[in-house]
Amino acid sequence: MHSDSNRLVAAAREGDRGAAEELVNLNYQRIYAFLRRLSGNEAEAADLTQRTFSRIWCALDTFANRSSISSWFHGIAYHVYVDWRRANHRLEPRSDEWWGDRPSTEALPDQLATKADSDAAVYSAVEQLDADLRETVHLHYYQELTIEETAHVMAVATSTVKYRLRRALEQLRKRVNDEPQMPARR
Amino acid sequence: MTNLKCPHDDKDSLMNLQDPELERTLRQAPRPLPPATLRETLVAQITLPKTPHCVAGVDSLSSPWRPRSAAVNWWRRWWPALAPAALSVACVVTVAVQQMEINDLRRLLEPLVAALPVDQYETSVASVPSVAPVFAASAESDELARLHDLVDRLAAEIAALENLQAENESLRASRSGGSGLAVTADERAALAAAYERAQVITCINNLKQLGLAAHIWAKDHNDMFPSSLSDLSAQLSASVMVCPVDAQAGSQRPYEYLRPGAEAYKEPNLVLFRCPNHGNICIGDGSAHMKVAKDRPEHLVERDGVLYYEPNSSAPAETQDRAGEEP
Repeated sequence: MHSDSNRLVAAAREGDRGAAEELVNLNYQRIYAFLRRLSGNEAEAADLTQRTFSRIWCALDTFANRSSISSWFHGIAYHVYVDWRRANHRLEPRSDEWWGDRPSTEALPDQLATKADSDAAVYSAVEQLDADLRETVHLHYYQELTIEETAHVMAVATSTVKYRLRRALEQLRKRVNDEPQMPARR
Repeated sequence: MTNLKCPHDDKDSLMNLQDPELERTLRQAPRPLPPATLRETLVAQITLPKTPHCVAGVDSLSSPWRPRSAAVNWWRRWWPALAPAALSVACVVTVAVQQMEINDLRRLLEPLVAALPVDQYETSVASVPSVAPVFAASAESDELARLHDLVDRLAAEIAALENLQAENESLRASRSGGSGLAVTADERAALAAAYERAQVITCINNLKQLGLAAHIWAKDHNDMFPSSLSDLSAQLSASVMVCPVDAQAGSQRPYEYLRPGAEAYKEPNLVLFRCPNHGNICIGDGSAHMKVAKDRPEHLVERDGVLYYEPNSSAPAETQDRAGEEP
């Protein structure tokens, strides 16, 4: 997969439009989900996704294989988000229950409902974290990047990523275990 | 307020999620689905590097992305570190070059400074304000050394003068008798007799010189003795014309000149000069005789107001030739 992605990038750098379409197909959903969770708005997330891929096409020549394609894409998407947040002064946490947007057409059993409630509490608690902890959780857990890839995207050391994840889990544990939880939307 | 029941805990209590459960929940987070038209939009906006240039207006945010060459990216990444380093190297090189030039100038100046005389050196140093502090120090040190030498010599001379003064004081003390030497009456009498004997001998010498001087005068003046002792002042010193006893007493009384202006070489026994203290005489032939007038007045004969020395008249007289013998 990794070698396939590198091959697609090399082909796109040479002007292969099919390879570029393939790169879009393989990565746009993850990038959109990442930006959707961070921005808290579908329209903004779509716009940010378009900006991300525009930058990717312009920066194809600068990709030097120092990181994986995934971390490179997420790095560009992350910087697009940071620029957008600074331009819009979006520094405070938002109340956006993106985890409730999953399709659900069946009534859930009690146990699954309880599980959904606890999951919702966790996701809601993540959105209450500080920006650096929240973004670290998004990249490592939601986007399933490794510690090293997360450190590369955020331009920090791996020890910093570990520290942030540990602090995030501590705060999540306190929030989730100490506070009363609201039931998730069904 | 409703307390939710954890599915992993049958107890009626609050949730008690631990880290592994939290991590599992986070990793199982639902993925928001993109709009249906997003993919087509993204594909339509594909703009590859080999195709017409990326439009900067697509991204109007504060950090537009443009294609850059690898060299430009490398320079952009490393210039914050290279610029100060280059500036530091330039400063070091400049300082090194300046120091080398300063050393060369010093080497050129050293022989010139050594060849200059001190006064000219000081004048030239004063006219070069930037160099004066360097060379003035050496001129001052030379002057200081010279002054130190002078001080040392003066101190040595002062010490020598003090030693001489101390020695002089000791000699004066010893002369005045303050040295503590003990002199007996006999020794004092012997000293006095010896002193008087010396005075007699000195007086005889004076009369002898007066007789010779009178004969020399007579040779140059028609064999006539001088009319006064002052005529002999050109030949004799004033001390010779005065008896030592009178000289010691501070008197300037001369010897008695008995036949001024008499004919020389006519009457050898004529008494020319006589000492009023000791009685020594000098006669016409130039000889001197000791204590004749005092001890043997019978040897002096007066005829027609002129005094003659005639030792055969009664007893032989003591002459200057035997002045050193005791009678």
